[in-house]
Order: sequence, then C-alpha cells, then structure tokens
Amino acid sequence: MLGLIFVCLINIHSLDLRWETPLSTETRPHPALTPLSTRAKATRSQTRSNNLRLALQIIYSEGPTSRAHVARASHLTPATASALVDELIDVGLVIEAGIGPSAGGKPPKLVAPNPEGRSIIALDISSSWFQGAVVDLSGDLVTTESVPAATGEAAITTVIEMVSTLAAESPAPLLGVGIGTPGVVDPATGIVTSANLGWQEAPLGARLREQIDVGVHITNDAQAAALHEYSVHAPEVSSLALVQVGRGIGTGHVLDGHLFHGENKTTGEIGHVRLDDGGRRCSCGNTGCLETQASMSALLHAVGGDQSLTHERIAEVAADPEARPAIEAAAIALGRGLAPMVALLANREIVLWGEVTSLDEPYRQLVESEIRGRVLPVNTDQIEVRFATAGGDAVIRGAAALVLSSELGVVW
Amino acid sequence: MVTTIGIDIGGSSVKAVARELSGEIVARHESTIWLDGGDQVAAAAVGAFRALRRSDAVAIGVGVPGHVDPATGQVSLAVNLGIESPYRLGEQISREIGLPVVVENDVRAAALGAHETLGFTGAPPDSLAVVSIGTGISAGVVVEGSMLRGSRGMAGEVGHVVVDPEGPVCPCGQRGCLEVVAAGPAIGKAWPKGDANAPATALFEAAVAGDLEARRVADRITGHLTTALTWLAATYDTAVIVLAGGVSSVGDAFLSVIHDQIVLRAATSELAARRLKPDQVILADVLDPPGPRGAALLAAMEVPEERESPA
Repeated sequence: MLGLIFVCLINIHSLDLRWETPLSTETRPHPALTPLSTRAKATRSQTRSNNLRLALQIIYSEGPTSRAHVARASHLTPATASALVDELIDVGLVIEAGIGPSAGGKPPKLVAPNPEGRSIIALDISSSWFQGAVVDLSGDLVTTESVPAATGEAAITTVIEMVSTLAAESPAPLLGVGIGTPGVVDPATGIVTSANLGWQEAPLGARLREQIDVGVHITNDAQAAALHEYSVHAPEVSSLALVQVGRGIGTGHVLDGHLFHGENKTTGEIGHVRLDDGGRRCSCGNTGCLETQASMSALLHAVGGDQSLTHERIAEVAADPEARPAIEAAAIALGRGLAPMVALLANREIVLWGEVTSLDEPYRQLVESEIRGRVLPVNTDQIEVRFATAGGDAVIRGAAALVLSSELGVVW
Repeated sequence: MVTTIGIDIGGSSVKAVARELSGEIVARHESTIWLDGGDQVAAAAVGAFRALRRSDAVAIGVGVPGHVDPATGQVSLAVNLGIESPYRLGEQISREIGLPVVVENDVRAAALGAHETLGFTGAPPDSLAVVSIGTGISAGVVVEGSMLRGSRGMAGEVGHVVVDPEGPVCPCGQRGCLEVVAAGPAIGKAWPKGDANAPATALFEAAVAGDLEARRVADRITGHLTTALTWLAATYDTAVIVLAGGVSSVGDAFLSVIHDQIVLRAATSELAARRLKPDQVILADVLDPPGPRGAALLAAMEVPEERESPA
C-alpha cells in the first residue's frame, strides 16, 4: 500500500524537491499538523518545489491518476497542476500511463510513478553479512550484493566499495544512498557509534559524500525497520513502534508518518532503562536493565545451554516445554518495560522484530496482556502487539524507503 | 460534456457562466438586480443558474463580496448585499438546485479566473492580483497557481488599510482607509460636477481631456490606489495586477491616470521602476470577466470527482 510521510530532504539532481519541514500525510497542509518549530519563510522557488512534491505525492498515493485529479487534490489551478506533472515527466519521475475513463468529456491521460526514473542504493550493515541493493522507485530490489561484515576502518571502506559497485550497476540516475546501521546515529551528520562495528563516532556520512555526489541517509537499523513496517502498512496505520528484541532491546518510531529521530541520537534505546534495583548486572554497568530481563540473550542466559543467538536457537527454546517459565518471565518483563512508552505515545501498533520473532503466539499474547494490564483501560482496546511481517530485508528496504521519503517526500 | 457554473454576485448585478472542464465558457447570463439580504442573494443565484439552462452542470461556484468561510459556504460582512450576520448561502443554493456549491470571496475567485484567462501555469513569474475598485476596494491574489485565503480568510482585504492618517473617518472606525479616500463613493464626493450616476467616468474623462482641477483630484485618488498596487507588487512580486470593479469599468481613461502615477514614481527610483511597470497593470476583460470564470473554475477544482460523471 502506498502512503505519504513526513520528511527532511537533501538533494535530487537539477530538480530540487527539498523540504526543510515535515510534510503532512495529507495532501493539503492542515493546521493541526503544522510543525511547532519555526520555519524559514518559503521563497518563491521553494513554493514551486513544494508544489512539485505535492504533485508527486498525489501521484504516488493514487497510482495512475489524471492531471485533473492532481489539481483537485492539490487545490492548485488545473493549468498549474498540469505544468507540474509535465515537469515531473520531464525529469523522469513520472510517466504517462494510458487513458482513463471519461468523466463526461475527453478521456483523461493518466500519469503514474516511473519506477525506473531513479535508483536508490540501500545497505544493511547490521548483521554478520553486509547487504546492499540497487532499489528502483517501485521498491523492487534490482541488484543485490553481500559481503562478510568488517569492523573499524575496514568496515567503512567495505561500505564505500559496496556503494561504488552498486552505483556502477545502477540502471538509472541515483536518487540517494540509504544505510541502516546498528548503534547510535546522528542523522544530520551521518556520524555513527557502534560497538558491533567497532566505530566510535565514525564519520560514515562524510566519507561517503566524498565518494558520491548524492544524498546520503544513515539511520539506526531499528528505525530503518520501523520505516519499512510503516511503509508496508500505511496508510492504515499512521504511527507504530518497532521493538527490536535480540541481543539488546531498541525501538524505532514512526509518529504521525514521521520517522522520529529525537534530539540526542539515542532515541528508542530503552534496553538500558532499569526495571528493578538490584537484579543482574548489565553490559552497561548498571543492574536491573530491561535488557537483562527481556532480551533474547537474557532468555538464553535464563534457559542455559547453547548461548548462540540465532533465530534457530530461539525457535528451539520456544519448542522446549521446560523453557516456558523463562519465556513467560521475559514476556512479562518486556510488557512492563514497554507499558510507559505505550501510555506516553498511545501506540496502537507495537511490532516485535529481531530474533524474538522466532518465539510463539503465547509469548506475544503475554506481552500484549502485560501492557494492557499496565496502562489506562481506555487505551488498551487499541493496542496490538504483533511480530514484524517484514523478512530479513526489512533494514535494507527501510533504508531505501528513507531515501525515497527524504528525497521525494513519498513512501511505498 | 460536463460543466461547472460560476456565479459572480455584485451589489447591482449577477453574472453567471457555464465553463467546461477544458476552460471554455459555453454559456453566459447577466442580469441587473439590487439585492438586499441573504435570501435575495440566494434566489438571485438560483435564478441565474436556471437562466443558463445547463443540464450538464455538476457543481456551482459563487463569488460574493464579503467574508466567506469556504468550508461551510457561510457569508458574513457582505454589507453591499445587506448580509451582516452569517448567512448559509452555499447551503441555501445547494438545497434549491441539488448540486454541490462552493462559495468564495468574489475578488479571490476573480483572481483564479484571471490566472486562467492570462494562460498562467503556476511557474514564476505568474503571481497576480486582482484589485476590485467599486463601492469598496479589495484584492485577491494567486501565487504559483494557488489562491491565497490567508490564515483567517482575510487575505487581500486592502480596503481598510490606512493610506491617509489625516483623512476622513471611515465607517470601520479608522481614519483615512484606502476605501474612504479612493473607492466609488469617495470619487462621487470629490467630483460632484459630472453625472451623479457615473462620477468616476465623469472625473477620469475630464482629467484625460485636460481639465486641470479634475486632473488634480484624479491624481490624488489614483495616487492612493497606486500605493495599494505597490504594496501588492512589493508583497507578492506580482507579474500582473488586474483592475476590476465599477470604477475600473471606466476603462482606458482611468487606467491611463494609474499608469501615469506608476511612471511618476518610477522616474526617480530604479527600485520602484523595477517593482511595478505600467504594462503590468491591466483592466479586466469585459467580455470574459474574471469573476464568474473564476467561480466556475473553483467549482471545478473543489467538486468531488465522482460528480464529474453525470449518471
């Protein structure tokens, strides 16, 4: 399902569709969605590029549609909407798509998104293999590539090489590069700190921009996955919380169509919120962190035996009747940890992602009922905890969606 | 074929058109009528619609001189129509005719109409303003294909901006509003010598013919108007300003005095010369007036798509 999203923009060749403020999920600005922060007064050329984005959003959200519909949905004059559509066709983002049914007069020519107008390079560097893909504007993975994960400087050069290789294979002009990484990311600068990758404030964004002259968008893997989940389910859902439960616990949030970055770059890192005084010591130095009770590594620790954190191992635990008390304890701990977040954000969709998806329905129900029992009843009938529908390509697809939303203001 | 109907309601006339979605005007109707109160206005709009005899009409746009809430079709402060307190004009007309009705301020709708007749496509430079100078003065603005309503639906209400702080007291309570020194009634007071029914024509034709006293009065009045045009040009960097309304219908005599004022200001200022050139200020097309066309265009822009196919 196609939908729209709030975003910030970087660059797109000669056609500058950048936005410096969020873009509404509606096609028309709505006072309730006006950002609270002050925004620079729009100049004339910004108005034009905003109008171009608006037209593109309408075409993306409606599929094949007429120029007259673009005019109606944008509240621009028909001549203006038609000129905007022509400009989008000129730059290759939109194509003619046949003739529509007559509305009483001449049958209208339809226009649709052009899947081959641009390519996106998307990378997932959050697992033991770095995965990369060339993604077209319909979200299809055109070319994929995987190389073994590296750490430190080698990881940076590997990422740069993958991007160069994929760029060379791109069949269309590049729209941008999107990367989902573990760790803490400053989305503005692309500086990444990740224990897994051995990066302490690694300037990944700057290094990539030295090599390639398109927008580079880097985000945390949970946020990328959240954006992908959102784009799969939009516009039925406008907000969701993706909870990554694996080695640790992190969350990614889409709020009112916004990928939420937060102020201090560690948004969503709820794994180290202390549930109890005392309890097990955590890798962070504290005791009683949510991670020590509800992560999948904590579950394995409680169950004993093979400690290798894989989907297969978690599925094995789920099938083991003797592990049931440990699974239930992990579920209750997760529910306790998530309840304040749900109360605060009034989330309806809580999507579990990571190795946790190899657990079972009773676990999911227990997490959900634990949350319900801890927030106001008025909220609870809306709450749905579910396992992620996305497969192993959620981060790479989310990274591509980030580029699409950031550069063009649209989502799949 | 599908049409939308545009109805432009003035204090003394109702102009209506049927516009195909392509922009072609396929029928026109005009009647002279004095309206007093919401019910009469609604009845006049219904009458104009019926006179057009368009069974292919799918929606109606109505332009009225007053404050309009486009969401509800509610009109208020339409003093020239005798509507003071809010009147549900859109609802009333829709109930009679059974088609969706969009109501908008008349000058704002006219700005949309002018955007179409000028062949603008939303690419700069095509910002335009329509300034209606008649019993009152107000403006409508279209910037890059988008009609400006403003945050409270008051965009373009230039008539009650003070241009002469020493001037006469205005009914609005301020002193020296543009309207009280330059609109039709002010012209009648400043130039009582000619035909009392057409004081503006008398004044500007005398001024152009060389009557020095008329010229002095005309210069003073058009000087104030030119100030307002300059505001609009400075604010919106307008490519074109279209003059409409009863005073503008005097025609070339009026326009030439306005042009002279613009040239006068440009003579000593490169900035002023660049901001507003005489040829950027034109008269509304009397054969294809922007008001009813714009109202019809607005109806076409607002009508739900499913209404386009007559069942």
